[in-house]
Amino acid sequence: MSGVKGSFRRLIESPGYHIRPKYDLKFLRERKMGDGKKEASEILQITSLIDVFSMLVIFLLLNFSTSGEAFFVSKDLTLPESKHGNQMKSLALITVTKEVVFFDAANIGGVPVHIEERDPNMPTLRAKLDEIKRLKSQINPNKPFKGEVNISADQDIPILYVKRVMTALISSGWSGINFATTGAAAARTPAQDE
Amino acid sequence: MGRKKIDEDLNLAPFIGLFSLLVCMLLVTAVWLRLSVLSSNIDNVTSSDSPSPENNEKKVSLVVTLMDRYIEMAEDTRKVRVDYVQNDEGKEIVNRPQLTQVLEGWRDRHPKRKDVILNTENSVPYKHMITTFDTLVGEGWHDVGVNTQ
Repeated sequence: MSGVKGSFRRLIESPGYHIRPKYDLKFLRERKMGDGKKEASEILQITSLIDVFSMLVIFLLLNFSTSGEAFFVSKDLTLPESKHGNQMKSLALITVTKEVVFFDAANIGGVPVHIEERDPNMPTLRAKLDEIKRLKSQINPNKPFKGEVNISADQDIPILYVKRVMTALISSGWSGINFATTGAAAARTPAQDE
Repeated sequence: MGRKKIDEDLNLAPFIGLFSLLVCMLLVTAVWLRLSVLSSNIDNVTSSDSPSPENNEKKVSLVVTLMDRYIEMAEDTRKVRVDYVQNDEGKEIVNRPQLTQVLEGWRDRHPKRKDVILNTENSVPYKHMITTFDTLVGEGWHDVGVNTQ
């Protein structure tokens, strides 16, 4: 107590202001306690904070997706743009670059499949496509196999690289080929899809 | 008699807590990259090689071929050439307005058709094929068969 300026010593005192800085801000303390002529405001102005939060919530709600699918595109890959595409479904994904072709899929047993193919004739990819087709046909023998796949390729690569993949897909019986593009999916009516 | 002072300030702490939680949840689930797909019709290409068993009427083949320097739009033997144009950055792009114009002519002559075959030369950039594909779908030609030959 003796080290604090402006305070005085009492034997018995009521508990009150007890945060003792090096310098007792007596006048401010008195104003806060209502002893002074003007009462100092101790309420933080949080209106602007709530405004910012509201704007953030509205913006993020607009970006909210209920599809629950996450798609990752390599930063080295620039997808071409489209204006009239359909909504992207969660299917096996083939990423085409000049050097290598990646194939990623969730296999029937839930084991993820990841293949890197560097041969232009795609023997590994063809073998895996055939294997998946055979497994799916065994599980659902009465249901015709509809091999659907998404292809993502850089916008500037020659079409030859995509054609090679398409040829491998078609020869293995995968005919549902979708080209991934950037841009919001256009709203299509069922009549248009027929 | 003095009345008890009413506290007119709203207790905003729960609002801030709720907003913080909402912001965190929405940030995690936000979709930053919007992707869509253009679906090709492989059956269109394969079926075009054989005559249709339903009717003996000759079906006009509508073929769009992407060449290195231009796009050839063939309605049987009648062919229209659509040159690529350069954008503001000097990059070669597909001339969408001219392409649309030709497709509108096709639509007038074939109002019920939706199938088109899309051929490409191997050296054509992938983006040209997608732009052409997208224009075709936008003009109501939804059955686009991409030829892999």
